[in-house]
Amino acid sequence: MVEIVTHLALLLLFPPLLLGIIVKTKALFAGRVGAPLLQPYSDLWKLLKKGAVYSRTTTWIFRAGPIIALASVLTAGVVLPLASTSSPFGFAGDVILFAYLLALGRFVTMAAALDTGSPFEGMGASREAAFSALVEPALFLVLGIICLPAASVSFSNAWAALPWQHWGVAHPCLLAASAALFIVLLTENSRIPVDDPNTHLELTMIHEVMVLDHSGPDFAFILYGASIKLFLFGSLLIHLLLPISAGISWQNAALFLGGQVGMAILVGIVESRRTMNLYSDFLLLFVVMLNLYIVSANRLTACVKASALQGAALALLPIIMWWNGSPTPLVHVILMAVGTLAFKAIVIPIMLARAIRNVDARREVEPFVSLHLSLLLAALLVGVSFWLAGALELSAGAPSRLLVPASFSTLLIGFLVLVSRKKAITQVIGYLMIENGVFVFSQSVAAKLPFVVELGVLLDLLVAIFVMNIVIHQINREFDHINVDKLDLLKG
Amino acid sequence: MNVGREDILLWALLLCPTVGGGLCLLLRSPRQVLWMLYVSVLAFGGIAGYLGWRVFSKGTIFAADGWFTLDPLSAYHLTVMTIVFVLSTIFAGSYFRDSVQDGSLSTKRMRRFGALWLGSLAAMILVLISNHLGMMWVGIESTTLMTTFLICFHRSRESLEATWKYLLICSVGIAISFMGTLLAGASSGHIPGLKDPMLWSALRPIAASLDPLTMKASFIFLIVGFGTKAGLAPMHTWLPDAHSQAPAPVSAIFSGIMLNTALYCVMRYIPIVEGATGNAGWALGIVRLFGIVSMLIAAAFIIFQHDVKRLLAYHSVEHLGIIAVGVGLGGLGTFAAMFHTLNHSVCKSLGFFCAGRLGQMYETHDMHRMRGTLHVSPIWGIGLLLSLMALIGVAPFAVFMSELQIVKAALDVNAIVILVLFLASTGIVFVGALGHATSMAWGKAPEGVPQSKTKMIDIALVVAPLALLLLLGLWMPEWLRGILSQAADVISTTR
Repeated sequence: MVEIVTHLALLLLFPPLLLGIIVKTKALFAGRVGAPLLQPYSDLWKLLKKGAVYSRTTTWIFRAGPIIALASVLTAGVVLPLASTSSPFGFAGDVILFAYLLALGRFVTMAAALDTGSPFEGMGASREAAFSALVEPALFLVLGIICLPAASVSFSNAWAALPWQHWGVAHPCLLAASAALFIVLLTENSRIPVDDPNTHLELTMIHEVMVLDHSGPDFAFILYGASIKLFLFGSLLIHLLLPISAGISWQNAALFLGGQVGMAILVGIVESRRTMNLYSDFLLLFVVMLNLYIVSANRLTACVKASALQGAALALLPIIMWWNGSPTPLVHVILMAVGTLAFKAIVIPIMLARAIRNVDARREVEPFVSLHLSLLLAALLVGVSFWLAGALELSAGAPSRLLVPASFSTLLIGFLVLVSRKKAITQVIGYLMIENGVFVFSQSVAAKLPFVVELGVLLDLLVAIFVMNIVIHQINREFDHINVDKLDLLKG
Repeated sequence: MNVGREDILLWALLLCPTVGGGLCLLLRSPRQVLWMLYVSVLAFGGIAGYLGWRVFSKGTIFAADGWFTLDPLSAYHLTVMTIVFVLSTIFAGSYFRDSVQDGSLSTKRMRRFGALWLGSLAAMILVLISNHLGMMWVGIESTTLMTTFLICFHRSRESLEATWKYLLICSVGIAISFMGTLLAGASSGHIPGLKDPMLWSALRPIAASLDPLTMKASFIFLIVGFGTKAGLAPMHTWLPDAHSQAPAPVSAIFSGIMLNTALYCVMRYIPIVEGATGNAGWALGIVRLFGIVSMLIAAAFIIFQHDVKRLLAYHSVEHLGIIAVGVGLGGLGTFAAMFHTLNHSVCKSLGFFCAGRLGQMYETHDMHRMRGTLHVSPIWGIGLLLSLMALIGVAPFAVFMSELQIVKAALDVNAIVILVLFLASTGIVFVGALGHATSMAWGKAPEGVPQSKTKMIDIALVVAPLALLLLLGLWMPEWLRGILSQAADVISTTR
C-alpha cells in the first residue's frame, strides 16, 4: 500500500517541479533571478480554471488528443519503477507496453495537430514524425541493453539484474546507453539543442507548433504530460546511473529525487550553453564533476588519475582566462600554466602513484562515511557553494560566474574527502583538492598576484606533497599500513 | 633597484641561517654541526639585535622595493625570536651532549637536524620581514614544511603519528589562510590605481575604503587558517601531540616562537579588517572569542594531564589564548599582549628545556614517575618548578604582571564576561598545574635514576631566563615600555 501511494504521489506531484528547476537554472546562468521554482504548478492551476476554445473545423480527435496523450504517459509512468527497482503495477512485458504507450501519446498529439487542418500544425506534425522515427530505434536499443542481463522484458527483473556493480565491468556499454538515453530525453522532450520550447519563431518550432491551437485545460494536460514525460526519461537515466536498490527506503528516495533534480539542472546547463562563457565555464564544471568523481571512487589509483586530470584542467584555466581578456601578462600566464601542468598534472600524481605502489594500498576500505552518502553530501556542498558565492557577492568582479562557486565546492569537497577517509593517501588527495580550490579562486585575483608569490605557492605545494609522501612511507614502514584511523597512540 | 644599507641588512638576516643551514649538510661530525648552529644563530642574533635597535630608535625600515619591511611590531617579534633561538640553540648543545659523546647520534641525522633547524629559523624570519601578504603566507607554509621532520627526529610510532597530524592539519589550515589572503587582496578590487594591493603597507592606509563584506569573509578564513598554526582551540588538536613527541629544543622553538609567528599574521590583518568594517570591534570580538575558547579548553585538559610535555603544550594553547584575548581587548590589552608574548616565550622555552633534560634522565615524560626532581637534578628541577609556577601566574614573575594588565584592560572596557571566564580558566590552570609541579619537585624519586652532573652552561640556561622574568616582573624599564607601546600601536585601532 505504502509502495503504491509513494509511487503515485511521486508520479503525479513531482514532474512540474522539473520544469521549474530547468527554468531557474537557465535564469541563474543568464544572471537573472528567474521565476519561482513552483511557477509551473501555478501555471497549470491557472490553465485548468480557464475555458477552452475549439475551432469549428476540428473534430472529436482534436479534443481527445491531449486527454489520450496525458493518459498514455501516466499509464507508462505507472508501470515504470520509480524510487525502487520495481513498480507496484509492473508485470512481465511492461517494457514493451512502456515503449508503445509513449508512441501512442506521440501519435495522438500528431493526429490532433493534423485535425486542425492548419498547414502550420501539419508541418509541425511532420517534423515530429521525422524526429521520432530517428529517436525510437535509439530508445529501443537502450531498452534492449537494459533488458539484456535479465533476458526479460519486465522492468523489475531488468533493474534487479543490472546492479550498479555492472559499471565496473560493462562501463563502455552502459556509458554509451546513458549518453544515448540523455540525447533521447532531450529530443523526446523537445529540449535544446533539438528543439526550443520557448522560441517565438514558428519556423524553428517542432513540438510547440503542434499544440498552438490547444487552450485552457487541454493545454494544461499537454504541459503536465510533457513534464511527466521528462520525469519518465529521467527515471530511466537515474536507474542506469545511480545505485537504486530494491524496496522503498529513504536512501532510494533521496537518490531518486536528487537524480531527478540533477537531471533537470543538467538539462538547464545544456540549454544555457549559449549564455555561458563557453570554455571557462565548461572547464570549471569539469573540475566540479571531477570532485564528485573523486568522492565516489574507492580505487586509489582512480582518485589519483582524476586529481591529475583536475590539475590539467586547472593548467588550462589561466590560458582561457587570458583568452577571455584577463589583464594578466601572457608570459606570466604561460609560465603559470606550464608550472601547474608540470606539478599538479604530472609530478605530484606520479609521486602519489609511486606511493600507492610502495605501500601497496589499492582501495579505500570502509571509509568513515559510505561512498554513496558522501556523494550525496558532495552534491549538497556544491549547492552550498553556489549559495555562498551568491551571498558573498564575490562573483560580480570575477571573470566567470562559475569561478567562485567552483572554487568553494572544490574546497569543501576536498575537506569532505579529508575528514571522511582513512587512507593517508586519500587524505593527501583531499589536501590537494583544497589547494586546487584555492587555485581556482586565485584566478579571480591572478592579475594582482605577483608571479614570485604564485611560484612560491606552487613550490610550497610540491614540497608539501613530497614531505607527506615521505611521512606516509615512514608510517607504512613503521606500522605496516597507512590507515590513519589506527594512528591512535596519542590521546588527551 | 638601488641597494641601500637596509637591503643589505635584511637580506643578510635572511641569508645568515639559510647559508648556515646549507653548510650544515656538508659538515663531517655532529660536533661541527653544533658549532655551525652556534655561529649562525649568534650572527643572526647580532644582526637582529642591531635592526631592532634601529627600528625602535629611528622608525620603520623598508627594503627590496617594499617587499620587506621591519616595523615595531615585526621588530619586536624578531627580538623575541632572537632570545628564544639563542637560548634553544645553546640548549640543543646541552640536550644532544650525551648522545654526541657516546656516538649514538649519526652525523647524517645531526646534519639534517642542523639544516632543518636553521631552515625553520629562515622561514620564520621570512614571515616577520615580509611586507607582501602573499610572501608572508609562503613563509608560514615553509615553517610547517621545515619543522615537519624535526618532530620525528627520534623515530617512533608515536612521533610519526604526531608528524602526520601536524603536517596534515597545519597544511590544510594554511591552505585555508591562503584563501583568506586572496580574499583580502580581492577586497580592494574596486579601488583604481592601486599598484600592488597585497602589500600590507599599501592596504593599511586605505583600509577604510576596502569592501567590508569580502574583508569579513577573508578574516574568518585567516583566523581559522593561521589560528590552526597558532594552536588556537578548537584547531589546536595537533599541538599537544607534536610538542610532546618533538625533541625538547624543537618543542621550545615551537612553543616559544613558531606559534607566535602564526598569531602575528592574524595581528597584521586586525587593523585592516577593523578599518574596513568601520572600527566597530568586529575582528577584535572574533579574536577574543578564539582566545577565551582556547583558554577554557586548555584549562580542562591541564587538570587531567599525565605527560609533562603535553602539560606544557596545553599551557601554550592557554597562553596563546591569553595573548589573543589581550589583542582582542584592544587598548591596554594590546600592550599587555605584547608583554605577555615575551614573558610566555622565555618562560615556556625554559619549561621545555627542563622537561626535556629531566625526561632524558628519567627516560619518561610521565609525571607520576617523574618524582623528586629537586633531588635528582637540582638545577633542572628548580628550573621546571619555577617555570611552571611562573607559567601559571605566580607573583612576582613577569607573566603575572602581564596577565594582571590584561585583567585591567578587560575592566577598562567593561568586558565582564571575558573577565570572569579569563579568571576562571587561569584559576583552574593554577590549581591543576600547581599540584603537578609540587608533586614532581618533592615526591620520592624512583630507583635507578642517575644523578647527573651539572655544568656551568646548564646553570646559565636556567638562571638567565628566570632572572629576566623576575626582573621584568618587579621593574619594567622605561625603554621597554616604549618598545612595547610602539609595537602595540602598529595594530591598535581607535574604537
